[in-house]
Amino acid sequence: MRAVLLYLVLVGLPVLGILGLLRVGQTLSAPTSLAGSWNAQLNVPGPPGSSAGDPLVHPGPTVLSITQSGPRVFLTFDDIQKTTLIGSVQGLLIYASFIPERATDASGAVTTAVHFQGRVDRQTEPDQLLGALIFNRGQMRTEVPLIAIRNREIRKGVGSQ
Amino acid sequence: MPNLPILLLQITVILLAARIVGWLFRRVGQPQVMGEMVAGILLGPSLLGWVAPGISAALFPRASLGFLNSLSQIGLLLFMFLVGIEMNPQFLRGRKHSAVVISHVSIIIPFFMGTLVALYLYPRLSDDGVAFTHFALFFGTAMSITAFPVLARILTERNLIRSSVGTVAIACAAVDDVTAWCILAGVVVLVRASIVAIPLWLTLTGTALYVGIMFLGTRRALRRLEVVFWARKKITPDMMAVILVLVLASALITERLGIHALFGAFLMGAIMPKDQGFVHAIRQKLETLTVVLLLPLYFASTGLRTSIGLLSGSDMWFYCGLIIVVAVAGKFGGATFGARLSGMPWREAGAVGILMNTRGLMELVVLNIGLDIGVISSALFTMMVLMAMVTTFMTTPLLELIYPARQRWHELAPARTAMAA
Repeated sequence: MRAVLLYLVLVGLPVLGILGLLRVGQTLSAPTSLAGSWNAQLNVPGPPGSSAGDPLVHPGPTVLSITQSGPRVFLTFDDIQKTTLIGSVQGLLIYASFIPERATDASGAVTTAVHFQGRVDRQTEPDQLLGALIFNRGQMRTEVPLIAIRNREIRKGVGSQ
Repeated sequence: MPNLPILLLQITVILLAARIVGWLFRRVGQPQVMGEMVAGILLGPSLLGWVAPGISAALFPRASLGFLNSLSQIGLLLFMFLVGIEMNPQFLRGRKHSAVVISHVSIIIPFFMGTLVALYLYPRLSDDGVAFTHFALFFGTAMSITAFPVLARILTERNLIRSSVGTVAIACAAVDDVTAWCILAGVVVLVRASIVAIPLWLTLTGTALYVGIMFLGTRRALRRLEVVFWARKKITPDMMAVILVLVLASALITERLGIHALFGAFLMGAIMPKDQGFVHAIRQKLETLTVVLLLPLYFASTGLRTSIGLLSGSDMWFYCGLIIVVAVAGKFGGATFGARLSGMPWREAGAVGILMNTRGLMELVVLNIGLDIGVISSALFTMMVLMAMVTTFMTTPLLELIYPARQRWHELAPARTAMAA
C-alpha cells in the first residue's frame, strides 16, 4: 500500500507537471523554419563569373543548404569552397554574412566579403526565399539577386552535417 | 555502387581510431565504449574536418557516407537485438517493486526537468517547423535514457554486479530501457504522423497487434530454437540464419509501421528465450563482429554529424552547459531520491544515481533518431552528444568517489563467503 502511494506521488505528480508544462509551451513561438535544402537561382548581371570574381557566383541553378538552430542560421552554397554565411532570422527576414579572416589571401589578392539579405515568402507553396547576395571586395560592391525554392523532399537533419 | 576502396579505407581508419582511443580510455579507467565514442567525434568535423579539411573530405566524401551509414545501421540493429536479449525478468527477482519505483522516478524526474528546460530552449534552439509538444517530449525522453549495456559493462569491470548497488542498478536500468524505448516509440510515432503518409491509427493498432503477436505467438515458437540448441549443444549456422532473418524482418515491420527499425530488433531480442546457455551462445556468435567492427562505424557516423563548430558563441555554450547540468541533476537526483525512498542508505542510493546517470551509446541512438526525424537541430544534437559523453565519462570517477573500493569490499563480504562455501 505504502509502495503504491509512494509511486503515485513520485510518478503521478511529475506526470501532471509535464502535462501542465506541455500546455504552457503551446503559447511559445519559435523562429521561422528555414532548415533544409533550397534550389537557388542567382541572377548574375553581365557575363558569367564577372561579379566580384567570386566562384560562388555563376548563372544557373545551385543548391543552398540551410542549417538552423533557433534564430541562428548557416547558409552553405554548393560552390567548390562550400561558402558558408552565418546569420540570423528575425521574423521573416534573414541576414547572414561571410567575412574573410584576412583582407588579402595568400597570393595578395583582396578577399571578398559576402552578405545576404532576404525574406521568406510563406504564402507560396513551397516556401520561397527572396533576397540578394552582396559582394564587397575592397571598394567594389556587387549585388546579385537570389531566388530560392524550398526542396520539400529533404527534411532538416536528414543527412545533414 | 559503393566506392569499395574508399569504404575499406574508411572502415580501416575508423577501426584503428576506435581501438587506439578505446585503449587510451581503458588506461584511465574508462570503459572501452567511451573511447570509441570519442574516436567517432574526433574523426568528424569537430577535429579531423577542422584541422585537416582536405584529408577529411578525401576520407569521408559526402557521396560515400550513405554506404558507411547503412553498414553502421545494420550494426546497430544487431546491437539492439543483443541489448534486448540481455533483458531478463530474472533481474527483477525479489526487487520488482523497488526496481520499478526507482526506475520510473529516475525517468519521470529528468523527463519533467527536460520538459521544463524545453520551455526555455524551444524558442532559442528550435524553429516553427517543429511543434513544441514534439520538441519537449523528445527532449524529456533524451534526458531520461540510461545506457543498459555500458552500465552492465561498468558493473562487471568493477566487480559490482553481485552487490546490492549493482543488482538494483541493473534491474532499474533494464526497466528504464524498456520504459524509455516505449516512450520514444510513442514520440517517434507522434512526430512521424505529421510528416509521413501512414495514418496514426494504423501505426498504433499495427504496433499493438505486432507486439501482441510477438509476445503471445512468436515467443512460444522461439522456444523451439532453445530446444534445438540443447539437442545440438551449439548454435548451428542454420539456426543463426533463422535468428538473423527474424531480427531483420522484425526491424523491417516496425520501420514500415512508422516507429523505427531499432524497436523491432530490440523487441525480437526481448522475446528470445532467456536460458543463459542459449543467450551466451548467441552473444558469442554476434557480439565480436557487432561490437568490434560495426559499432565503431556507428560512432563514426554519429561523429560525422557532430560539429562542435556549430556551438559558436557564449550563448550556445551556456545552453550546452545547462543541458548537461539538468541532465545530471535530473537523472542522478531522480535515481538517488527513488533509491533512498526505497530504503537504501544514502551512499548506496547515490551510487545507484551515478550508475543510472550513464547514458552512453543509448543516448546517441536516441539523438540520431531525433536528428533523422527532424525534431532537433544539428547544434542541439551536438550539445546532447556532449552531454552523453560527459555523463558517461563522469560515472567511473564519481562512483569511485561515492562508493569506493573498500566500501564495495566490505559490502561484498557475504557474497564472497557464500561463493567460497
